[in-house]
Amino acid sequence: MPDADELSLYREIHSRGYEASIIGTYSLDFQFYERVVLRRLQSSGCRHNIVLADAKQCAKALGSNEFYPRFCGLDYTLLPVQSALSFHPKFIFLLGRRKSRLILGSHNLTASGFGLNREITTAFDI
Amino acid sequence: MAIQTDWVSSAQAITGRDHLAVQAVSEHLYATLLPGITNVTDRARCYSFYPWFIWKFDQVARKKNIDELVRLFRRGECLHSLIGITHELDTQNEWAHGGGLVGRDTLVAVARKVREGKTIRLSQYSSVDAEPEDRYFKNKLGGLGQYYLGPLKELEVLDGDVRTGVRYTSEWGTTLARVYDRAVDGNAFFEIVRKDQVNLVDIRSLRSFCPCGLRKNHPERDTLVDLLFCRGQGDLKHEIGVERRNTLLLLLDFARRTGKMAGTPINPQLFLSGCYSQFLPDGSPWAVHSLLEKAAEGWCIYQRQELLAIAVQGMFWGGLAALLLEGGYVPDIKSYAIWFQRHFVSPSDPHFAGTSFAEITEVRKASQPLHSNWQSPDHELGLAEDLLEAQKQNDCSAVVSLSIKLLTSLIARQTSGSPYGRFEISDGFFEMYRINLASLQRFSGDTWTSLNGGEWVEWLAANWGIRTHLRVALRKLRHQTQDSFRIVPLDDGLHVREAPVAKWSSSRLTQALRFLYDLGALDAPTDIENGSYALTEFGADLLESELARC
Repeated sequence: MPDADELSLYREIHSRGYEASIIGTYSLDFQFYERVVLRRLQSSGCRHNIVLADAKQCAKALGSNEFYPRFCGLDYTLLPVQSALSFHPKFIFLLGRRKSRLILGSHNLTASGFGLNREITTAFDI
Repeated sequence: MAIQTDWVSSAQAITGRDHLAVQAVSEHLYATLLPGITNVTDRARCYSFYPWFIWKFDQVARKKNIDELVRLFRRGECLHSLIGITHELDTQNEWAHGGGLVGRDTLVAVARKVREGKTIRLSQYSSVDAEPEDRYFKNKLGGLGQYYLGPLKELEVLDGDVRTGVRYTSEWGTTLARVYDRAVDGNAFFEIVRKDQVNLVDIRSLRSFCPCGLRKNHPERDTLVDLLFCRGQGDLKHEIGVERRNTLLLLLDFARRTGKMAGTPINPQLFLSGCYSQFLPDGSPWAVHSLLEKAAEGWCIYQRQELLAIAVQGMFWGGLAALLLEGGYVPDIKSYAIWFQRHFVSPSDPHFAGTSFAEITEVRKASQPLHSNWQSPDHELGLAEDLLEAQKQNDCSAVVSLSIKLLTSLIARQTSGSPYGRFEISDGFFEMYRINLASLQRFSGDTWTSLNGGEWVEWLAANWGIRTHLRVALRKLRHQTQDSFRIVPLDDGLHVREAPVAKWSSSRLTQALRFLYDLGALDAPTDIENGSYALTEFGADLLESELARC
């Protein structure tokens, strides 16, 4: 069981009151995003969803042929970010009419980033 | 601005079950074939005890509110279990008396104390606030809430829930309560529940409440038979239970036929083998009555699905268990599939890897035993049993080899018709549970035909192994925030956490056989381990009269 003081990213993306999300990541797992994260965001009313990911990592994920994104461009926007070296920030920005929450930490948009690894994060209520 | 810095918490790690979502199809099938009895409803007489308790509570309780009902009900259910368990300890017969009763794990020790002469307070064990090690059941409504309420609502015996209150129905609920009441001393029972204190003399004086009492109380037994076999008239008629009736009759028919064969135990697996092959253990054909043909066909399909489940689970277990011995890591799914093929196929049978899929299945078609010869170790039923035995010995190579052979046998045995026959299953269901008899038929007719043995095994390891598992585990993660990964996708690749064992689903047939025993239609098993039953005179009459009536 998770420590009561720890922060659950699964719970965060399932919170009500947000209508948009912007997730920044270095590496990403499309299957994890589409089957877990996006579904949880949508089921809690978050309809506008954007992913910013390192372009090279994006290409790597698509090139593996392991999982081809089915909802990209339909249910969410993917922005591969070109950078001379790497695009490396990791954040989840949840935006609602009355509240916003920025979660900034070490977590990539992967199952390991969402808690299989030991990751640290800071949440700001704005 | 509020700021919180913390570690990211992990999802709740669970062992989980059905890691390839293949047993879910079996569950769908057995729920259709045996509605109203579940894997956790062990005793038939609880179907009359529960409505009786609520009916009696309405008559004698001073305060009639939900809190009082819960308070007294928990004491009553506790007392009911203690009566059965004490009878069991007095007679050394668990099967007939205390077996399967609610809270048994905790209450056996309590019954022993009572037999040593101690007087106990029921509330010490029944209170929702009792110490966890004393409390007989956590659910507010005890075993009724956890196990029996769902099926009893489905059968229209009870209604409601713990929030709004549980009620007995005016048809089945009242009828069952009345016939039960005639055989027991309800006032004495409630007096003890109210008093909250009980000793051995009290418990023994209430022996008529023991589950074994059903056989002696014929009006109650007949009402339960009416309920379970859809025998009632008017409002009491239960068309939805025709599937259940037919399965129960099929079990009785199997018991009648195998009863003539010396030393043949009746247990769920033997029954399923008979349904699958349509042959009896002595090799004679099992020609079922026309009324029971659909039920027999349904259980045949169920068993075929189970064999498929054993094959793919075996391959998954064998692969992960062997990989664990080599460090438990692969960089990706493709590497796993190649490793799997090289590890299990090439060394043992280099010819297989190069042989076309079509030739593999043709050879199997020509060499496999007749369907009737299901006691042959080379029959798919024998292969499945050998696979489970090899798994117990941790023999990964044997398990994988038997899995592939079992799968090949199922393909060689399949026909061109709809693999699920009369069962209505939506495409959406198969989208969720992708390993099924329909996809087996489809892949063996197209995708796999262009592959050789080595490529086919790679395909299976990747698609019906890791990919399916990851999809299933991600679904769990999405819906329940639970981590059931058995091979974990980390940043550097896939790491095996644990190899989940292949096993048969729990088909409710064990409970159905016990119900038939409780009703007096089958005799007590002489060999409880193997669940060996014999048809009674009442069971034979019931079977004959039902076949004639329907």
